[in-house]
Formats: sequence, C-alpha cells, structure tokens
Amino acid sequence: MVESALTARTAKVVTADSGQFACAEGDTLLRAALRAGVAATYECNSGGCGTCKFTPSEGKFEQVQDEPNGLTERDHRKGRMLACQSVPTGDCTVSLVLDPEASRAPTPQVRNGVVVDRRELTYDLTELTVQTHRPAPFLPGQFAMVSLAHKAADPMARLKAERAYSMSNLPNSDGIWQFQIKEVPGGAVSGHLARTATEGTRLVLDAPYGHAYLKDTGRDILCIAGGSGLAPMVSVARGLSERADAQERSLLFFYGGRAVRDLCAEEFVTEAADRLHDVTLVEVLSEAEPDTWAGLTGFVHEVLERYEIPDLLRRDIYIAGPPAMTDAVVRLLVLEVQVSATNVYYDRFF
Amino acid sequence: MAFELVTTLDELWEGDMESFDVGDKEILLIHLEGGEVIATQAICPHQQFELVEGELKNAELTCKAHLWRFDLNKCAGINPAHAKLARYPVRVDGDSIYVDPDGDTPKIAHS
Repeated sequence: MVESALTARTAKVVTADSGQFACAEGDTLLRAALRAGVAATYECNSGGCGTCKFTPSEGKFEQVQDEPNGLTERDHRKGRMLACQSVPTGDCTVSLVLDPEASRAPTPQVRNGVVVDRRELTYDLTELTVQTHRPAPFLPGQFAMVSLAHKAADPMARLKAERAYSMSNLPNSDGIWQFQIKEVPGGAVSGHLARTATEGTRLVLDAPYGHAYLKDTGRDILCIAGGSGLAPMVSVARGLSERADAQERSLLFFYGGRAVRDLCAEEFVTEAADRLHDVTLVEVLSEAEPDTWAGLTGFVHEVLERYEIPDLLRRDIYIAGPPAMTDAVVRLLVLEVQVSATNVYYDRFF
Repeated sequence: MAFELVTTLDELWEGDMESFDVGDKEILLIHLEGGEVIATQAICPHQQFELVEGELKNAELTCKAHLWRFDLNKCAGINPAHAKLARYPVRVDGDSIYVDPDGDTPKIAHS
C-alpha cells in the first residue's frame, strides 16, 4: 500500500548544477535524491544534525517537523532548509550539496515487513527480527527508518511517525532485518515498538541510510557503543568477522551502560571472536553499586582516557550511542588525543 | 580583482568572526588577536556547516559539527591535515575592510 502510494505522482527536482531527478509524491527531497543515486550530504535523516541543508530557489515544500534541531537562527535568516524534512509539493529548483565521496551504500527503498521474532536483551532493550519479501541490502553500521504500518496511512503520516534504528545483523538475501529497540519513556515509536511489537506486527522500513558503516581500510577497529548504539556496533563487529582478512584483524569493543542490568554486549562480541585475530570487550558502568560490579566504572570517555590503547592512532574508530556520550568521546579522541578526524566514524543525530 | 567593502574594524573586533555575502560567495571574516584580518570560506570544507558557529581560539578555528580544526594563518587543516580553506585577498583601509571574492574558490574536502 505504502509502496504503491510512493509511485503515484512525481515532482521534478532541478539542481543548481543543472542535474535533475524525480521526487515521488510525498517523498522528502533528501530521500528522492538518494533513491535517484544523487549523493546529497546527510547524516541522521531525522532533522537533528543539519548536514543536509539546502537552499531552495523555486518551489514549495511541506515540512515534516516545523522546528527541526538541525537548523540554526542563521539558517532561518538565510532561507536554508533541511532536505530530510522538506517534501516538495510540486516541481522545484534547489541548490543541493553533494558528497564528494561516492557512497558504496545501496540506494534506500521502502519495504513492508512483519515482525517474526522478539527477544528481550535486557530489562529495557528488545531485539526485533523483521522479515521483508525482498532482500536486505545494507552495509554494517547503517540504519533504517522504521514505522508501524497502521500509523503510516499516507507518506506524511509515515514520515512523522518513523524513527531511525540501526540494523544489528548483516545484509542478507533472505530479507531479515534485526533491530534493538530501547524503551524510551514517552518516546512514541520506541516505547510503542518496544512494548507492543510481537510476532505478526506489521512495520514499514525505509532503508538503508547512514555513513558510519564498516570501511575497507584494513586497519584494526575500536568500537564504542552506549545504550541503543549497541546495534550498529554489533553489525560492524559481525561485518569485520565476515571479511576475508578477518584472521588478521583486531577488535576492541567498549560498551557503556548505567548498571549491571544493562549488560548484554558479551554474546555479540564473543560471537565474532573465533574468526578475528583478537577481540577484547571492555564494559563500563556509570552508576553501578560497588557490591554488584567489580569492573570499570565511570563514563565511557573517562575510562577511554585512562585505558592504554597503544595503537589508537592507527585504528578505525566507530562510535554509536546517546548524543552526550558520542559528543564526549569524539571530543576526547579528536581534540585531545588528536586521532585523525577522518579515522572516526559516527552518524550525528544531534 | 574587485575588492568590495564588507565591514569595518569597528564592527569586527579583535578575536571576533562574522560571515558575510560578498559577490556570489559566502565569506567568513576573522579579526585575529594581534590585528590581522583573514577572509576565508564561510562553510566548512567537510560538510554544510557555518564555521562562524565553531570555536575560535587565537588563530585556531574548530568546526562545531565534526571538530575539524584549522590554522587560519595558513588557511589549512590541523586535523585532518589534508583539509584546506579558501583564502580571499583582504585590504584594510583606515577602518574599512575590503575583500576580493574572486580571489579564491571554496574548497571541499573528503572525509
């Protein structure tokens, strides 16, 4: 139903460099560009990061969110908009910025799916396995826009209802997508999905998105995950372990939680251990009672600062977690330790 | 060469920066501690972020988005080192700051 709705009518988008592509009715400018193979810059696809700013010169746009965090006062004054929040209402002319690096990622598509399995990982983290008819092409570390099918009656309703969730599994031809949903008090989609999605729940997935995917560099890897950022880091670890050179690659995996009841990374990290040269899991808890936890305590960036990683400057570093954690970790690595900013991969959602 | 009047030293104090539209370019003017005025691109060569929203410390400018850091004296990247910034010619005449927007083009860097 949703898939056919997207092909009903199209708007023509003309770009400043005289390129053009079609935008299906109800699709955002960003998604239409990506679906057409136009590498518009973006990160979160959720209105938060501000990477997909563009300047319209002709045409009208409906906005998904009225006040997205990704736009500043200055942007408003200059008439800039977010491509991920702007749905063209007809033909338009825009100035889009293109990513100078061509992405290896598959182009995103909308798919209907159904929940086929549900597993509790912790008291508030649930793994959902979703089946789609068509294959599941993505790169380890990428995310999907997920909504409940009954809340996606029309494209705008779907855009307003959906949230980004990273896949924790690997791309496959069987159409299997795994997500880890954290129950967020008050979070409309998260709370609802985490509480009510059971076998048979129908979902709409629009995927894949994101740039913080496993790169082909041959370097050893440091993964830093917190909270529901575990899923993409698990996918990166699994992806690394499936590579032809896995036997020569080392993985250091940090996982930060609050208390002992948050711990759940071990099964995923040890799963990759046999095929990799070396795997170390470092778990860090910020609020653990001393009588329940003998391991490392503090915030992830604090422990990372004290932790001796001799080859840190030569590793690829992947980060996913709550904005405060990601920000603190990136500041430490790039500004203080002076890791090259180009070796640090994360998608900013803030 | 076409220098255009952009602003004045009275508007742009030492240690301050501000972005302006000059000709067809978006240009960031920085009045460094010590007095020199630098004109560079307003948008980070990495992605679509205004450098004016970043942190300025002496001649070091850190973009707010991904913490790319630049040495404004050289208009070059500190981290990552391969990044480059445009540098537009500046002429200070009395209190007036003139910039030639045709003197360079904005740089784009891959990550």
